[in-house]
Amino acid sequence: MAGLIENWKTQIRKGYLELCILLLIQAHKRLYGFDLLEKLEAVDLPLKEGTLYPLLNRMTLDGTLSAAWETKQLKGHPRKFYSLTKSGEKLLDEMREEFEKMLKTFKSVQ
Amino acid sequence: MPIDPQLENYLSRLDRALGQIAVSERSDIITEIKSHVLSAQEKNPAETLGQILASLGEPETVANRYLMERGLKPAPAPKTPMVKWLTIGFLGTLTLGVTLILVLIFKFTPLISVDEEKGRVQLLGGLIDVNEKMMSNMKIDGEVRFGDGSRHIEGEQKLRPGTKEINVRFTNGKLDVKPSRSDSVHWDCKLSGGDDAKIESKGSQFILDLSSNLGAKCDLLVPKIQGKLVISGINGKLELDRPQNATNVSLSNGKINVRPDRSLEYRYDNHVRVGKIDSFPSSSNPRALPIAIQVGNGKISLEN
Repeated sequence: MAGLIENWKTQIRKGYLELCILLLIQAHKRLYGFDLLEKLEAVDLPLKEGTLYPLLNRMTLDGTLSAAWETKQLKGHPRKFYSLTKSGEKLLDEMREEFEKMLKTFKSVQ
Repeated sequence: MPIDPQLENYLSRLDRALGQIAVSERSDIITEIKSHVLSAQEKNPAETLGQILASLGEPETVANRYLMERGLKPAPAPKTPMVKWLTIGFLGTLTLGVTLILVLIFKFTPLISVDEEKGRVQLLGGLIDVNEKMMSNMKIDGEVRFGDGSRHIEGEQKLRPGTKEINVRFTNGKLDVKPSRSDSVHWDCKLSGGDDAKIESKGSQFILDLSSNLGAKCDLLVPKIQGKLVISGINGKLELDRPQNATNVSLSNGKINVRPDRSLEYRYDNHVRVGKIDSFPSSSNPRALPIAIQVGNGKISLEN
């Protein structure tokens, strides 16, 4: 039983993980990887570093995010900041709409 | 500032595992991972580099996630040194084994060779040499010889009425089996080494057991019975001259020559596992005498 619920949770999280990442980036305008990890943990959506960075990489390649290296204003090493592109904004709107539909369905079947 | 060797090693492995990705993009990924490690160290100085890298995961696993996100085939998992050496050891042993088998096959070919002129059957490239001229002497690899203390036995036994089977057994021998004109089995044997022949009538069976003898050269006269002749041997040569009975013969190694009686019809069921077998014309007449001969390594020949 425990295995079943954990498996279900994993599947559900996969579905809204990208939505949450995009929401966080939109809310903060731009975030770098480590910062994003901390913010995801803060909303009880912990994610392995080895999973987040490849995901951000893919979302950059498919045009959802844009990335830029920055060293100004920050001491030490360069950091790669992510922000939403225009198509990323559009995608986020559609994902938000779909998610709200799902919530509505969930409430009505209850 | 020089980079920590542990981090350097991690990033090198990651770079190698990302081999399918273009070098400029690989470089970008490596830099971001390095940036993450440095950020983690800044955020929590108490955390060791080893812990940070462990939290990231094995570089090959991280690389595979990058590859899978791009729809590329993940690289195979790295093998531990132990696995690597076990694999080398296994493959090395396998190679040695195969080489040994090939050498043995090369050394012992031909596996079987039949020399009719010299009356010789050689097995395993000559390792076992069955020679009809010196049948009382068995040559194995040129080192062991049998044949000292040879003796001659001759005898005759009238078969009991109702005898259904004449059973002849030998280990190494040359047997000439001919039809008897009487109702008796007659034997004339030169025996070499081992025990004497055992001759007995048991129920409806007549048994001539030469198997305890190391080498037997026999002329046998076998009468016609309402039953069958059964001959079984390990190594040797057998001449079946005008068989008058249903006959079952099994010989592990050697040669069997059949000279059929032209006045009779025979139904043959002959098999040689390794060797040669002549073509035997078999009768479909249900009254034909069944002759079943099995040879493991050797030859079954037909003399017309």
